[in-house]
Amino acid sequence: MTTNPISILLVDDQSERAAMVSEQLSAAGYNLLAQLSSAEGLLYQVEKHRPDIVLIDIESPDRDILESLSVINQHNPTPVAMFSARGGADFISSAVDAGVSAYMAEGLSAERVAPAIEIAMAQFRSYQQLRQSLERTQQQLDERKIIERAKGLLMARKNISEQAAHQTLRTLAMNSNSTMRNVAEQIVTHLQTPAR
Amino acid sequence: MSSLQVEKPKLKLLYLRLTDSAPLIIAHELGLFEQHGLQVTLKRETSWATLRDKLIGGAADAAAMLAPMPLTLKQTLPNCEEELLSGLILSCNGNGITLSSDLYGKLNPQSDDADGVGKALKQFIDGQASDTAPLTFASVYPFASHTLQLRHWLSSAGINPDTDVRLQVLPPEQMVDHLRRGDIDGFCVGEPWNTFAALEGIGVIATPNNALMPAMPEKVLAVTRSWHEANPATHMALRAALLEACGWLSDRTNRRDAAGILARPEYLNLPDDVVAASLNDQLYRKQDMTPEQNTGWHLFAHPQTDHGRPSPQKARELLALCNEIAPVDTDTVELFHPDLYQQTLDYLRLREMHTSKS
Repeated sequence: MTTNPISILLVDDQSERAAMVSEQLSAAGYNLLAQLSSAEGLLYQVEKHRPDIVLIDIESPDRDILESLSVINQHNPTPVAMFSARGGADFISSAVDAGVSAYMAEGLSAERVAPAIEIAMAQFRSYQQLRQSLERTQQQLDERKIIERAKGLLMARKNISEQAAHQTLRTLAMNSNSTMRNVAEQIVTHLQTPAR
Repeated sequence: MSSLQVEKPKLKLLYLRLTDSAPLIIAHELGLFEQHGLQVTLKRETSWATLRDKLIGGAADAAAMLAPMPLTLKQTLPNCEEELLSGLILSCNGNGITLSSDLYGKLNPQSDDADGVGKALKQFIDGQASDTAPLTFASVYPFASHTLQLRHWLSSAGINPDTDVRLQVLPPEQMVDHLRRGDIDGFCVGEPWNTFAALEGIGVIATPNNALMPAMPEKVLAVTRSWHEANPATHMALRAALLEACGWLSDRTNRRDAAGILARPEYLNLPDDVVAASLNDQLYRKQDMTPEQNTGWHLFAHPQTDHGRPSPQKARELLALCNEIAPVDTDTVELFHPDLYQQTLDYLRLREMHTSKS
């Protein structure tokens, strides 16, 4: 890194992810100018800080505002980095995949900004994985809960043992080519309605 | 007749929360994609830049895109090697210019049409003290028909769009909120957002844009060049299904049904009436007013008209207008493909002949 580190403005409404990205970028020697949670005041911030790179969530509706900057004023960051670095298509599809978009100031070479974008991409991706694994854990918890409930209802209504209730669920699932969870949900809905 | 030998039957299409996304939604709901051998998933996006990037990045196959976007790609993504092309203009017109109720209340226009409101606005701006902040108007993207139409309307009234007012960009679905909050004084956006602002009493429609520039290409079916080259038959099937949907939409008797479908939560997620107005050529300039007839607010493609045919001439006209905003390259006019459009017409005609014979 030269004596004049690349300056970055980060726009991300996921504060946890923003923290991850900022930390890694700072650790790599980049100058993190500001971290915004929305594009509220984005124009002002860009004007004030004159960042070399703006990193922004690809899903942000505020991206069109940034695009207008580059058209109106050639000195504002243009959305070129992710499209030119490392020869195009692959880089952009992995950026799209990770959910990052980047804008870079005129006069910078794509090669110079690419490492920063790669750091952001990596952090966006690990945040994604974190979220997914949390969701999976939650799903597993939900599944266990509903199965336990179905078993309880079966035990009470049919007067059978826990083991037998478990066996019943498994058999039903196998016979109907369905999952334990689906069968359990059906049983809960069915047995919840008061018996006539 | 068997459908085309499509290279890629499963497709993902992108659209924004706008009335003229109708061809995609209608083709989906009427099962027209299936009739051409395609299984299509629709995905709603919130910004034009995201829609474009997902298309170029290969996260989607095609998109309903602003007509000037493929032509001006080099200006917004200077180093992008991919190109976007179109073989079908989905629709023309569909936009309007709305002023905040607050601003409108100060104007006292002699007539409530484009001309009258424009003149009154000019007078108002001229009468402002020199140290007051300029009025702010928003459009949806730098190179969009909206920006071109807004600039045209302002210029026609003698208002310099670059010096007399401030122009900025906002995503379509944020327009009404920003107008409500007073961040902006007016906007140019696609329907249903003008009608929505008017019916909510937040704004007054100064003009529907078909009154300014009749039959201006609005949304095109865009794909990347590499996708087109890898999937020519799929592309044709897609254009055929969408042209049929556009034809269905051109029949005014279907517009009620179309509005009901578009209004659903998974699509525009707005009240039926808000979506129905422009589709039924009804112009509600302001709250509690009986609607005026505004014929041709949306002109969808149709095999019997020229609205759907993309041509270098139409591209040239759009680029000439874009050039007033910022210098643009004009060597992109061939990205509007009349040959692909003709192919679709031929294919649909052959298909029809075959069906009527058997």
